[in-house]
Amino acid sequence: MKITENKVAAFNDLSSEQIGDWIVGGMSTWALSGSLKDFLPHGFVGLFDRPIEAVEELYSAPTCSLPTRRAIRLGVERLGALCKRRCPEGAGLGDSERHALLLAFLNIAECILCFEATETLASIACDGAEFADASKAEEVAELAIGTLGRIAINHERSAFWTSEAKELVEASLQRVAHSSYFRASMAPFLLAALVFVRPENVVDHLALCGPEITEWHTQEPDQKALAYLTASNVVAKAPLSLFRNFSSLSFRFASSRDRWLVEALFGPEGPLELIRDRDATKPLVTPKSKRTQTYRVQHDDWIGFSPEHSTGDEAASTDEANLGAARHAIDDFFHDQAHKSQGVVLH
Amino acid sequence: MPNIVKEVISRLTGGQRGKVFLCNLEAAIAGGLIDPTAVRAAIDRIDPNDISLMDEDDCMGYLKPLLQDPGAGLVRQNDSTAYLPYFLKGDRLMTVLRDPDYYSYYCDSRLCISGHDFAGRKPGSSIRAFRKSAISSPITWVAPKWLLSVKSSSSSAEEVRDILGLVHYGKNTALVALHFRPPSTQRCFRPTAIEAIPNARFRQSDPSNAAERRWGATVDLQLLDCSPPGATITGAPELTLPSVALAGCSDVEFVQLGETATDRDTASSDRKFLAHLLNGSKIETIVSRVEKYLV
Repeated sequence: MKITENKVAAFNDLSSEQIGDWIVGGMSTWALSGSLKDFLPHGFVGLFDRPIEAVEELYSAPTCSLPTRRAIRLGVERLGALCKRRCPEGAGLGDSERHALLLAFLNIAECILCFEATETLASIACDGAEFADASKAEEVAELAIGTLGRIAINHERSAFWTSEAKELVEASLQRVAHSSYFRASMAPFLLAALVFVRPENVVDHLALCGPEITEWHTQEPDQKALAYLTASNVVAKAPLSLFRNFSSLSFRFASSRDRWLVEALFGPEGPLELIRDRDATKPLVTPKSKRTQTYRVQHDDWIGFSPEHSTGDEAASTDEANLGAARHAIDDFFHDQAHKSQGVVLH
Repeated sequence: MPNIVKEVISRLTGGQRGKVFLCNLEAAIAGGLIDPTAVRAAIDRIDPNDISLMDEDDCMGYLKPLLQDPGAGLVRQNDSTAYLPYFLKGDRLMTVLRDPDYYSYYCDSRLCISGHDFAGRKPGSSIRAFRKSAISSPITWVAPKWLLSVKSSSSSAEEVRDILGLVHYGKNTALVALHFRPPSTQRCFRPTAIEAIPNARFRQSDPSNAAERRWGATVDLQLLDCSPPGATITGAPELTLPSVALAGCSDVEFVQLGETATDRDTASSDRKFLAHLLNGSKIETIVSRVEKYLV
């Protein structure tokens, strides 16, 4: 719902502090009593089902100046801090009021891609906003993880994405991985968010999230068949980083840390195709979406790669005599007749 | 004419939303749906100092909670609960919300970020899980799902937005449809100008079916933009519900509709719609009638 240009101009004339005070004061009073009086004289807030939508609409207005948008972002950050139990500005807010404010904060933080609020989001993801009700704490923590992740995934839409924002968001996401509310099932989501934010660090992200994904596949074997979706995210966002650092991956055995990823990358639904070479440790890969491009992914793990070996013994060694058996094992594993029909590619 | 009433009406005539509201208010009072005495009483409670600095949108936003307060008793004779089965025809109700609002207020938060297939934002994808505490807006606008299935070939965000007259959803707005069967005790109401504040495309009475009393009708935004004056611009039937707790509903499903492609909230569309509402009258005539009702 559009706001008049005159109204936007009135906000463009306000200071950053005034705008922040307006947001925080108005939302606090609304949470406490349902009244919009502290938003007055800017009664247009009442046009919306929820007052925070008015703030978002103001932010999105074409004539909203950059300083005003910056001020709104800082105001939203303050709103997030207000939701914390120990925030002095939030004295007098009970759990019910804080919950209402939290939902509003999460909503607008995502709508305007408020990178400034990601530390607060990570904090909520870790402490559940300190709600005494455990189920509520868990719910808000999960909501915060979702909001943070979606902000990270959609960051390219924002003009406020800077190197500082990148650092902040990445650090916040990494912190979430250590939250007591973080579940193994959330690891693909977190991995995607990290890869979207800093694709060049894909191997670090895999080190962080991979063990959780492996653990989760043990709990939910059906999800393993969908891992190609996560693998596709990685290839879409960080292909060169993945190929350059392929030697850092560990996938020799079924229980190896990155085994799930390699299986997903080169599986029938995966984004990559393996091209055998005479040297089994140096196959080529090509993205299925861009078959004119090939990359060499050298790795000794290809030698001992076998779906039958699930002892988890990383120290087990193989020798050159197993090369032929290893190549055969790879073929069998991927069950890809197309590979066999291609023959050996000489490079 | 008391000053406050004059001042409020004067403010409202300064903008499109205000003029639309006044036209619909006049029609609702004339049709016996709204009690003008109660409207006057609500306006009389306004402190003139509160609105002295307000423009038309501020004034409308200030008025909205006052007029929509159930205690104000403005609306009468619009209970359509008995007609709900005819509205549904065995199918579900449908309402539309923004994608971020789905995530903030309705989704099963853990499920939405779990799994390799967490990015359920592909148009057409759907999910049946939801937060057990999820409650819809205090005034929830619904249409019968069966009719949308008939009218919309693609069920895209653009088409659904247009058919339901949701002009406040501009370009590139990601929308989600919520389908559900309400509990058997669910009450529903024919919309009036009061619940519709501040929708700039609400029409109290559908001239192509002026005798219909059981429910309202949306304005099809695409028809409004593309049709000549006087053409039918009727969208879908609509009702309002008070807040609905989803846990009490059955067959609940959220469906991703994608993003809208255009913005229908344009000045030319404003002029066209006002012309439809005025139907040959002048806004001054409508204002005069409203003032007489409120004296």
